[in-house]
Formats: sequence, C-alpha cells, structure tokens
Amino acid sequence: MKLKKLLLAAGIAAALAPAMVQAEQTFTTGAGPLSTAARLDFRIIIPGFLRLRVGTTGGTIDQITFTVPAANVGDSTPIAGTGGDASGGTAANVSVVSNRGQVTITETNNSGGLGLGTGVVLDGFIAYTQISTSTSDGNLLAPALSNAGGNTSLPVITAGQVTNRSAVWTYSYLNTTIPSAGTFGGSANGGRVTYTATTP
Amino acid sequence: MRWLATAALLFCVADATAITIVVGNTPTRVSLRVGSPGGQIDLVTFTVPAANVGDGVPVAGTVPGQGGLAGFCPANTVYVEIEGRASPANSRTVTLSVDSTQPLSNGIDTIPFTQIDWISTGFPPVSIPSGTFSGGAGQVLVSFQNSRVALQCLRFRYLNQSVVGAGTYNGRVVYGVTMP
Amino acid sequence: MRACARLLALLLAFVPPAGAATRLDDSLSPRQRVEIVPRWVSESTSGRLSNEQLNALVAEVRQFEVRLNTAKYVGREAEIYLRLPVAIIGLHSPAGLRLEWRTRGRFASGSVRPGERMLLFRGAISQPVMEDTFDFVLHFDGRYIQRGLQFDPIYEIEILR
Repeated sequence: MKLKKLLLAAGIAAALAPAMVQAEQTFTTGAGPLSTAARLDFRIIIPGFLRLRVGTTGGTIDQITFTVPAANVGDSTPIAGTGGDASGGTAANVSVVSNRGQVTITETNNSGGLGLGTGVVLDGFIAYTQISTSTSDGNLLAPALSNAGGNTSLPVITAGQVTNRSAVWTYSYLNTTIPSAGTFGGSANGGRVTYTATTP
Repeated sequence: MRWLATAALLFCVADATAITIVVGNTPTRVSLRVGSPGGQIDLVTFTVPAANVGDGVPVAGTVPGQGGLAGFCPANTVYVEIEGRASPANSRTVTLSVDSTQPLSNGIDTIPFTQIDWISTGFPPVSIPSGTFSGGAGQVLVSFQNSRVALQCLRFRYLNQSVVGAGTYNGRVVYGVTMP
Repeated sequence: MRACARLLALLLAFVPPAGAATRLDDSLSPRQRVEIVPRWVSESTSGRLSNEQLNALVAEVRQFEVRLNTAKYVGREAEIYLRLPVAIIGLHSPAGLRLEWRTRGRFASGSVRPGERMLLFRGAISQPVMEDTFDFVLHFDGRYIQRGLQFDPIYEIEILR
C-alpha cells in the first residue's frame, strides 16, 4: 500500500499604496522652560500567507509503505510504515504557518471514493479507514483519512490571526481485514492523499 | 547777546546725564524638524514580502521625497534637526526624546515599536546615534548644551522578528525637544 | 541770573582747545532710558548655520530723538562723534555688539562697535541744540553677552577751530 502526500503552499499579497505626506517642523521661544514636538508616522504592510508542509520539503512527495508479514495478514496487528521523513520513516513532519485566521486542513485522495486498489478490479480495495493517523501535538491534529475525502482538522491558533504549529503525524495500517494478495495504492492506484490548507 | 543768554539758560536748567540702553535677558529658543518642511507628517512604509513574514530579516523603510532634505539626505531616510539657543548667561541643556508607547495596529492585532530601529547616516559626525524604539515614553536620543544644531538622516528598518497577522499596521511616534 | 552769568563766564573760559574730544550732554533727549529685548535672527531651514549665524541676535529702537547741548560751541567749527565705550557691563567681548543707526536729519548714518566712534557731523555749530531722529539697530552675538547688559552711547565733540 502506498500513500502519497502533497506539499502545499499559498501566499496572498495585498499591496496598498502609501499616501505621500509631508512632515513637521516646530519651534518655540521664550524665557522659561521650553518644549516642542514633531510627529512621524509608520506603516507596516503584512501580506497574508499560508504555508503547509507534510513530509520532506522541496517538492518531494513522500510515500509511506506498509509491508504486512504473511503471518499477520488480517490479524489486527497494526503495521508501521516506512518512507516518511520522521520517526524512522513511520511518520511525517508537518507544519502549518499562516497569518490569516483559522486554518482548515482537508484530506482528499485520488481513489475516486473506492480506496486503495491494485489496478485489477477483482482484487478489491483497501479502505482509507484502515490507515490511522496520530499526532505528536494536540494543537495540530491530522484529519482522519477516508475513501470519500473531506475530513478536516483545525489547527489551534497561536495568537490573534497567527497559526504557527508543528507536529509529527504517524501513520499505521490497522490490518483488520484480509484483502487479496497484491500491492495496493501508490499514486497510480488511488494511493495519493492530498492535504489542503485553507484560510478565510 | 541773545545767543549768549540762551546758552546760559540751558546750562543752568539741564543736568549732564546720559541716555542708557538696557538690554533684557535673551529669550531662549528650541526648534525641531522631522522630515520635510511644510507642516504635515512624514510616513515611513515597510512592505514585507509574503515569503519573508517573520523570518527575522529586517525590511528597510521607504520615504517619499527623500525624507525632507533632497541633496543632503540619502533616499528613503528621514531628516531630523534639533536646535537649541540661549546665551551663555542663560545656558540650558537641550534634550531630544521620543515617545513610542502606542504600538502600530491594523485594528485587530498590534506590532510594538520595539520592532523598528534606525540607522543614523549623513552629516558626519553622528549627532543622533542609531538605535531602536523602546516602546516607551521619554526615550532620550541625544542631549547637548546650547547653542547648537544637531542634524541627522535616519534610515528606519522593520525588524520582522515575529509572524504577525495580515494587514496594514499604522502607528505614530512623537519626538520632543525640551530645554528646561 | 547773576549766578548763571558767572557760570556762563566759567563755561566760556573752559571751552576745550581744538583737537580734544569732549562729551556732549544728551540729557535734553526726550527718552533717557531705553529697554530692549533682542530676538534671534536666523530661522534655520536646513541646519546649515554657522556658529555666528546661530548665535546672532538683533533689537531695534525706532524714532529715537537725540538732542545734544551744543550751546558752548556755537560759532565754532567742530566734529561730533558717536562712540561706544570699550568696556560695557554684561559684554564679554567687543565682538558681541554692533550699534548701527540711520538718521533723518543732519547727522550721518553709521555703525560702531565698543571702543569705536563714528562721525555724525562736521561743520559750523550754529545752534545751541543739535538734534536728529535715530533708528538704531543693535546686533548681538549671544556667545558674548550676559545678564544685565547695558551701555550709554557717548556723543562727543572735537573743536576744529
């Protein structure tokens, strides 16, 4: 079984032209204590942005592979994955950074709602619900994987409009069913998961 | 004989005193200029690229009109001039300070002025040292005895040390010169 | 009048010889005491002021009527000067003051610093009182003045013949 992830980043720039204004000159004169003041204005333009990382950076799409020993097929022994960039390959490093309010992470896949297949219809499919995802940080939960896709998670906002969270998502094949023999998933057979982060 | 009589009369009536000119105490004077002349308020703008928000790389400010002193101050600097005058008999200490208490705000979030610093340039030797806003009131920038003019071109930077909410943040500092 | 006649005789006996300067009595002038407050001259626009410009002060006294008692010298050829004393209370240096004036009558316009004098009139003294209206401008250098600055302009006459 193969699992694919997609690294997503989006930036939104909002540019505003600053107004051109002149400045201050003041003076005072007299016999006693004197004071005078002048003002200066500042403007900081911060564009909105959203960055999501799942697994290896740089455009690489990691593949987590679960290899079930023959003796354990369908015995409900959870199988750890390999090929991730964290925890010895069983997990993926995840981070989400945004300054545009509440982020929503949504899982989808390319299985057409069928689950992971072999390319041969008679082999059947392994449902995405057989792959569990746990997180190292409750502030950044992973959306539960599903055949239909559309499950979401809401990272906890750090402060104000800013979300800056990191976690390790660990994947496990639950192994509670006895599928046909074969290699299920991979990018060609419904095994690519896409995590999409959005903000208001 | 008439002229002699007239002369005698004047001699008897008048006392030989002199006109005296008395000069009162010289008024003291302070003046302050920040940016261009004209009476309005200069604006320093920092535009942070989306890819760099909060990465700790300072963002240089831009200032229209060469900060008020074309030909003397470099582009995108603000000209600051303070002047204190008094006679030695009435010697005073002139102090330039700044109040940066109110943070910049986009209406929801704020950025403290401690995220903005300045580099002094132009008019060597440096009269007003480089520094960072303290975020408080009465931050002393320079102090000297009269009579003197101190002038400097200031290049401002946004330090960009935190990820902050999207939006346009506006704020104002108030420079003050005192001669107690 | 007898006492005045005797005083007059004494006065005539003490008319100074030609070439020596004698102070003239200006007590006939309407104003005997003038109080002024100087103001700073330069408004700095670009900060490019010299120390001299930065410390420059000025004050004016307009329409100041000066009347000099020249009764003793009627009929004589003389020169009348305006002089400032070299030592002035409240002034550290002669560089700290320059007195400038314009007149409206027979006296000449001019300017002097402490210790200097300038010619106001040369010719025959024909009147027992010589008068003119002065517009004074006083130029100060703030680095050299102190509290209590005051001075008496001195009018003096030299008999030529």
